[in-house]
Amino acid sequence: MAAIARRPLYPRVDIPVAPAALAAANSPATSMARRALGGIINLKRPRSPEPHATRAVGETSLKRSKASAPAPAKEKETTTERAREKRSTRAAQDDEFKAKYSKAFPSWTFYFDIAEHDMSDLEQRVAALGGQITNFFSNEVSHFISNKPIPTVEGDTNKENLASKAKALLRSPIKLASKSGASRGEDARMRKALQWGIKIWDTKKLNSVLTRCGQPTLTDLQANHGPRRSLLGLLDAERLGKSTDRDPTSRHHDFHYFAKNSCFVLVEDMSQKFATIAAMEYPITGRSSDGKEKGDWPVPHCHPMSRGPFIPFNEKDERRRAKQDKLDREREKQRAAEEKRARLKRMQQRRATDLRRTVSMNNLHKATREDLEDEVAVDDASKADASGLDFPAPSGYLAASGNSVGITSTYGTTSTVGSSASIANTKLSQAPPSLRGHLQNQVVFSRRAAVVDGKAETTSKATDSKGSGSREKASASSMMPPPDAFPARVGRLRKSKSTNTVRLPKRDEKSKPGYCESCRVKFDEFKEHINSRKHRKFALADGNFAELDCVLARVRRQTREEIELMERHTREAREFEEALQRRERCFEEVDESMGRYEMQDAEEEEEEDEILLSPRKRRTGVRVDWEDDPME
Amino acid sequence: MAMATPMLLSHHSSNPLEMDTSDEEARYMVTQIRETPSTDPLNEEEVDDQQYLHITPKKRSVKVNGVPTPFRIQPKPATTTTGDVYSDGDSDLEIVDDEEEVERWHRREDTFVQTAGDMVGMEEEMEVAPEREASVDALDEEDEENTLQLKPPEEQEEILEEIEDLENAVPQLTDDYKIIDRLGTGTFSSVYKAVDLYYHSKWHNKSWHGRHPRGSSAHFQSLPRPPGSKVFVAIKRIYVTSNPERIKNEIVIMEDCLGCRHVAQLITAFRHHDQVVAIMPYQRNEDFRDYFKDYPMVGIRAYMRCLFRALRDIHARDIVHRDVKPANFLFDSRKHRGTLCDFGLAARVGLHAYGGDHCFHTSPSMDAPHGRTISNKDLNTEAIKIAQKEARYKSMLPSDRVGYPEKDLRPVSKANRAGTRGFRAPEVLLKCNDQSGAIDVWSAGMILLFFLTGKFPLFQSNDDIEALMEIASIIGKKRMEKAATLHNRTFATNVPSVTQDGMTWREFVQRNNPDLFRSQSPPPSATPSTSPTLEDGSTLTAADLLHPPDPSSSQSTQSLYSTTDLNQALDLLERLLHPSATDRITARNALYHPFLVEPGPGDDAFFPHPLGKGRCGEYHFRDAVTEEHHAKFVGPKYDETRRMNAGEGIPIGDNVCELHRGMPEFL
Repeated sequence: MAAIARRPLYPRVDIPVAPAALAAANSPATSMARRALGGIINLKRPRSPEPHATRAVGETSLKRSKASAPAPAKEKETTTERAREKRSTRAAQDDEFKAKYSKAFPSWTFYFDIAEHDMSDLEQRVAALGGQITNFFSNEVSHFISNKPIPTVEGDTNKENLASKAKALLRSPIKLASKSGASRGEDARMRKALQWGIKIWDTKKLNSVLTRCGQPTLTDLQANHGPRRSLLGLLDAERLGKSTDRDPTSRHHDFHYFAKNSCFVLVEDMSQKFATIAAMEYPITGRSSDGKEKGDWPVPHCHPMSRGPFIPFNEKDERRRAKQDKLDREREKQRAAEEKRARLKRMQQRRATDLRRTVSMNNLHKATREDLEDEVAVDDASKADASGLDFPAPSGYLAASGNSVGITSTYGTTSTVGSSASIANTKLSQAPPSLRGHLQNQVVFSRRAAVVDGKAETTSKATDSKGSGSREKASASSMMPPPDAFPARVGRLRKSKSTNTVRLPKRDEKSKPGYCESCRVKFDEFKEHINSRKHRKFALADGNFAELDCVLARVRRQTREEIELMERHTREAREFEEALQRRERCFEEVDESMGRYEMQDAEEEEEEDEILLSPRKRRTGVRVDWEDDPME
Repeated sequence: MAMATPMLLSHHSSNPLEMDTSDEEARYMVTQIRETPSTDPLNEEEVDDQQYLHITPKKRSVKVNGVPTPFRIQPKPATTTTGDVYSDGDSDLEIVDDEEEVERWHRREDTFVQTAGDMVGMEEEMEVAPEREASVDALDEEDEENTLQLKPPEEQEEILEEIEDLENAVPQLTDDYKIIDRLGTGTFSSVYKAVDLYYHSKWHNKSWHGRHPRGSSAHFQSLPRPPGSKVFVAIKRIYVTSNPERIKNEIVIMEDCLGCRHVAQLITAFRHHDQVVAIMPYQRNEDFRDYFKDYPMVGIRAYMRCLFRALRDIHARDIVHRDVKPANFLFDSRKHRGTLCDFGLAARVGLHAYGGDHCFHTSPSMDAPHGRTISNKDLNTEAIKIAQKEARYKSMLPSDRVGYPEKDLRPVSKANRAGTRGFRAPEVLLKCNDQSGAIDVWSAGMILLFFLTGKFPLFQSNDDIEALMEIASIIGKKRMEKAATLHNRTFATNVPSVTQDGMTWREFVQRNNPDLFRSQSPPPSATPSTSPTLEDGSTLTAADLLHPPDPSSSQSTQSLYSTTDLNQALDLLERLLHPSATDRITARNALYHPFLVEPGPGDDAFFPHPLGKGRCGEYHFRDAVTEEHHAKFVGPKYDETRRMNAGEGIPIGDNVCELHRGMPEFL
């Protein structure tokens, strides 16, 4: 896994798709792809980073066909044996090289003296191996990277130094670039580098080292991998758990592929460090008359009459919906009227019997007034509205406001889900029919949201994409829209909607499943859980809330008294300080005119405490000219 | 009346151009005063304003006449000197403080009055007092207290039960508050309405009222409630199943948001065992669905301005709300007052969830609140290009040739995705690990889109990938690819509805709501001549103000919005819903966009600076250990450091905070 993380997968692009592979794929899209990529891909073959991968295209394809071919001749077998041996020794050498260099890299500091645009790639690769890069040339630098000719070495000492250093570090298979130095265009820094025994590499060399250490250049990756890699190499890599699927057209056994003839979306991490960000498959369900594929993906119909941009306009549906809305509204009206009557009755009863909790005398008085009005105008709806005391809610939709009214859109936002689900359960029967569908859907959403999170989400989506896709579509189409028109509001009292239009169904905590973040357990019943021993234990341990308490102490509402007290303290502290300052200043002045005030000074010291405690004595305590005090 | 009102108005509003907020109130107030001078009990908020109307002109005239008001109570001559130099904001200096404030802003006003001298005519036109509505609108204190009675009986029972339960869970609550109703229920909390029993007698309310000057749209937050009035608060009951750490996060963020405009202010919060409650001022609110369709442009502007002021202020404090949506933005459509609430999902920017991920943009900073795209020369462009090509290649391959590791052992990107479906920005859906305030701006853009399309909700897929596809089907593959690249992602799809170029948001609005563009009303012909050209040369905003919210105006009712209004709104929309976070307009710049910019000093003048910023910022700091806010005073007499309550000592605009006002350096 570590290998995967380190190794960038972009080589998968690696298009120089071998003709054989293309032939195998043999689909119209491949040629399309080739066409598309033809211009992009650098077909030039640069230096090969991995010896076992350096095979001619022909050989590779030969080998491939061989793999599937029946038993080869003995002769051939021996040659391959020999070749394999050779390969393995080379591979071993390579591994050694890689191990040594990779180990050494973190201790090296590179200084680049090359053009910017060449640098970024090299820098990244150096950094990937843990090498330091500095912009400041000093003797801390271990490697000086430059393509400039290297000045002829002044003495053998340096060369020796270089050589010995290199030897000490590794059995370098690379010729030091400094040996092939020409004496033109020397550089002061380079001279210094030589003098300090800093290694001077050209980019070619650095490139080669990096490549061999497993940090190939992009162009290398593009040109060398994929179809040209030997089967053995591929198998080796696979054994090590590396993704070797360089050819996007070849299937990989532990990959999940989208279904044939489906539509998909795939979001991936460019650096390939993270698991697939998101993947989704949409089956093509049919074709429209103009030959376009049809499926469950969002299509921006944007019909002005439609409820939402992704919902196709269907006159019939809309008409039905309008009808339903109308019906609901009428029913609601009726219900409101009934309610009013019921309330009237209740009020009368209440008046006769008791004062209920939280019903103040005020309320009662008001209620009476209300009742009277109701009695008068029970049939006159507009008047009842104008009284402002009864306000039947427009039916069939839910409030968007209030403090996160759970029912609107908070569900699915986080893992804890409760209220909306329970609302749906408990009040389903009371909701208008159109709303009912909405609430039912919410249950599905909530459950799903509660289960699915993080990685599970991606995978579940991937494996079960068809199902979830259609389910979501279904829910989207049955989603309750805002009503097209509201009952006319002319002359109507507009009141705080948050409190009276939202007929929030009962939030039944008893049947509220959820997750307790404190106890880290899932529960089926909210009330039961919070009264459980485990939770109570948590709740009663102040230690669990120590940090929170710190904050709560900070935001505690302060009383006027406290503020006054604090101000008094501040004032007193100020006075105290001022007194001190005066004293100090006085001392200074005393010091200035030492002789004259010697006596008083001593006197004052005796009086010190007294001065501070009783300001009145200040003026008498010390004989200094206070009028001159600039502070007074 | 037509004459009296403008007179009153010019006194009332410090910025007469900001009529959409204050004048409507004023107009209403006038009606109230005239019709029901004293008997009719008013809504608590209205009472603020009435008081205001009564008091301020008097105060001002005193000032104008040069007669100093002997409000000051001076206990000791020696101490007053110091108290004067550094006005403490303690109770006996309170009046002095306010007086100073009035004076300060009065001066500012004078300049406006000159600029807007001929605005009076405009005001006159605006003065189409909806008397009927005003009188009907009066929802008095008593009504506000009895909202519970308006609910169906079974719900009442249930609410009463809940209230009792809450009172039992937090016994100390009943000492100071009387819970009267439920306001809403959410995933993590329920909110109740309560009466703040001792607002007038017991509490020092300075720190949560803040000191938003007159002229600031958030001035209403700072208005002390009129003596004797009932003060309502919202009590948020955070469910006990929430982790203390999560609760702490919310409280700390709310603490930091004290002083922010149009943000729910934390009055206090306390705990009993596992139950935590937070107390905030009560804000009247209307259901978004009740008014968002065919909402007048003034209203939309006011809504968006309030929202962006809130966002600007919290983003400046490195806070991202993460859940901006109509349900979390309480808006009184009548008074055009908005309050952003519910910081339950809010987070600090710059805290990386996972270090290994590198987007091709920088983290948000002071000068680039949405981060900056890293320039090509610092990137391995070759690798990016190749990855992009690969993704494009995959898009063209037959579907059964495109796959991904089945048992992926690589780590899963743990980007924060808290928020609400349909409001998540592309970077959230793409699992960017370095999100910024840009995600809130996107959500705000969504709200503007609701207003303009007349549809809500618009996007409602339940999962992130579907949501991404919905967006992609509109903005097109190219722009989505670009946005994906910004966050180090590749985006490959062969879904036919995701076209290469997609459509602009303007087109989207046009297709969803063609009526908006049909039969454009001629721009109000009478108004441009009377509307003054303002400093910034924008007569447009002035013209907007002439766009009265009521239909009784002479406007053609065929189309709701003028072409210029619409074009400006659509232009802003395009910038708000820019798929690349770094290119998305910031909340501050949105406030300076032609659609939202207001004549006058501009939003910067009312911006409450975060701790350590602003004119006296260097004297404010946070204690490294206790995280308490401290302020330093340096004067000729002494150096002093004092602990402060959050919400106090906030410099606004170019002004010093109230504490440093007398400091010699700033005189």
